[in-house]
Amino acid sequence: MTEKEEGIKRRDYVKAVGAGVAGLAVGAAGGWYAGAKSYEEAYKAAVKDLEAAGYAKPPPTKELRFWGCTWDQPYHQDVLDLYNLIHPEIKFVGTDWLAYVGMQDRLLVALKGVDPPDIVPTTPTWMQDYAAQGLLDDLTAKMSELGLDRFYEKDLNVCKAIDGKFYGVPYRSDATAVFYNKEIFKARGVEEKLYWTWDEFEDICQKLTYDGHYAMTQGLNDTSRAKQFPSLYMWANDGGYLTKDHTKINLKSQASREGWEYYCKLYLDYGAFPPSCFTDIDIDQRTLFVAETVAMCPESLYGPGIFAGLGFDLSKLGVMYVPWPSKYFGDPPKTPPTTPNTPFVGGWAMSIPKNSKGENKAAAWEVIKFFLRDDMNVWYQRCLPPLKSTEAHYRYLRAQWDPYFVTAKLYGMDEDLFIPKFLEVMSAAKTALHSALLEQKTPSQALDDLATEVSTITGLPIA
Amino acid sequence: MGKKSLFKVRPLLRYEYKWFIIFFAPALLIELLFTIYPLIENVRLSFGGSELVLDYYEKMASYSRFWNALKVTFLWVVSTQIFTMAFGLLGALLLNRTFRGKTLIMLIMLVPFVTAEWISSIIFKWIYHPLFGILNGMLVQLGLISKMTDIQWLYPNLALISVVISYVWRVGPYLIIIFLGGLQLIPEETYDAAKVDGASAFQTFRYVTLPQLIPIITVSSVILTLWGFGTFNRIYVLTGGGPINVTETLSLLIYFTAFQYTRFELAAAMSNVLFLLVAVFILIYIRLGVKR
Repeated sequence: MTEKEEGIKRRDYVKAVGAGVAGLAVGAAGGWYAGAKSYEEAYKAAVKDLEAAGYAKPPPTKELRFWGCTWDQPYHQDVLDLYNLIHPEIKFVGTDWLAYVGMQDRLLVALKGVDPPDIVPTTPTWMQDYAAQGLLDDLTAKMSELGLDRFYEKDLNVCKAIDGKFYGVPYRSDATAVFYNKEIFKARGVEEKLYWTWDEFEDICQKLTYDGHYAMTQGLNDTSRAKQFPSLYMWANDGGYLTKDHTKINLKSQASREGWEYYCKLYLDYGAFPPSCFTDIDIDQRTLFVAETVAMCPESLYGPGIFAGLGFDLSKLGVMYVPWPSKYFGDPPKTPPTTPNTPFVGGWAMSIPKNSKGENKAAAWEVIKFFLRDDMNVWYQRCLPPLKSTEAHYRYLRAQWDPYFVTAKLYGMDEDLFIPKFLEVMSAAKTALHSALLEQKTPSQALDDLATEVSTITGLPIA
Repeated sequence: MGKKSLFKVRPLLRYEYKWFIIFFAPALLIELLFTIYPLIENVRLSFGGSELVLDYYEKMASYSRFWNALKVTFLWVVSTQIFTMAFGLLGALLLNRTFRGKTLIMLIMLVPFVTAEWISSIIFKWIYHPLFGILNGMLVQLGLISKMTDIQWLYPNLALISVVISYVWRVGPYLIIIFLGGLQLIPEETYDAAKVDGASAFQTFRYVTLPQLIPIITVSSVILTLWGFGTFNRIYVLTGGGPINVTETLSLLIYFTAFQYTRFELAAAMSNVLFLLVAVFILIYIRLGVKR
């Protein structure tokens, strides 16, 4: 075969595979639920047929290293395989799937090293610090290629650093819900509903804490959770770590204090959290929920998948919003807020390390764009999509849990982006929370000390 | 007894030099690359790189968490030394006789030491669990406590001692083997002589056994000091340095400062202080050991 004929065969191979796969991909978005397995088998069979007919897969000309998260692994691997079929010139080598535990360390070491992967997962919690150290590429100019208006604003906001530039592309969004065990609720005479006021929530915490059983899991050994869990209540009460203009520390405000003290009250007055919460992280506390020692588990929206993986019977699983201060509810009779509200906790993004190979950056960006296609995002989505354009598909696929949260008014996490040295602030928050809950200090004292320490760490004045 | 030099060196013959270099060079290279160079780089980083400033040492001096970590480190090193040595010595004294099954017992005793530290730490985390822990379960069964949550082993008041206990469980048996070896080197005649002189058991131990164990105690102390200052895995898994930093040693704080807060210069300064502390301790031990 002449070189020209070989070139034509190669092009035809790529076109044939691309056309077939693209067609299947469009069909897959609607038929995924029923057709997932058969789709996978179909494209593998298609490739086999082509190769049997003498089409040679072109040799790769570029190697890319992709790092993802373990919870996305099988689905993202499918996307990478699909991308590889359509773009056989790209070969993914050294693909790694990082577990959350230890991920931060691995990422930091890789980003600071001389040869990091070409694509890494990042979360808003860490992105700030990485961006501040110049470890991630500025993707602001590239973001317009994706169409900024396709994304929910909240998801774009958490991929920006304090300087207002984008350092990641959101591929998954997330919110916090409170999952509960319906059987325990029934046994303890607690009604099931979506909205709870703070007053009502205190009552149910009291009912659900008895004889070695507890109301709610809290993995407070994890610094991000120790910062986030009380924040949920401070944010709900219109307080938070920062003032609205993000220039001052807001921890001593009445709104923040009420939220913090309410959260501490749940443990101090009602013993609502298991005593192992100070040494447990999320994973440990989830096992207590699955073992039915604890009635409620605040969790991200991939919770059901995790509980099912731990052997929990999902027919017993209920979901509700994080409780709201009573003042936001109509009175009388108590009616929920006009739009559902739930704390938004960011999600995950893909970033390009600053130190990655320059010649690979363009190819890496193309891969990221592929992940952000509507059909791809729907296919691998296991939480909330960051894309408005996929909402219809998403509702179809995830009818059971998530429609409440897709269009909920999400609040809260934005302020985390504007807290300098956020990782260190989280650690200070953990120490302060433990001091309050273990009665080394009163909650009010602990909050005041935290405000002072956060001010020292960040350099921001206290309001 | 005349003064003895610890290191009596015979000059190498010419042909021995060649083989010395061939065999020593790889180890030296590794040492240079992975120990000496990082050490020098660490010192340089702590002084702000090329800026050569004392800023990070000043920050360290005003960092309350650093002083807390220093205090916890001393408590940790001293308590692990005392308890592990006592455990090792007591165990060795008990085992220093011939009986059936002695070899099997010694083999079983080594199991904690050869178990990976992470795994044994996770096991202890579950032993201490306030809801499902076997320890509290046993205490409830024995009627010593009324319910599982009566004792919180990993709460601030007990956290450090709980971690020490888990450490002694792991390292103590190793010390037993070391001390047992030392005890078995003591000539039987010295004990016979002590018996003839009418020495009590305590006096025999104090004046016969202990002095002859001093070299082993010195070496064990050095090893335990090094291990103590460098302990990370156990504390990280069991308590993460908490609650409220009551178990946060300097090695943990250095790790958090470098790899979570990304304040590498401050972490470098703290690690230099740790290095100096370890060096001072070891020099003291060696000096005491040489004097004796």
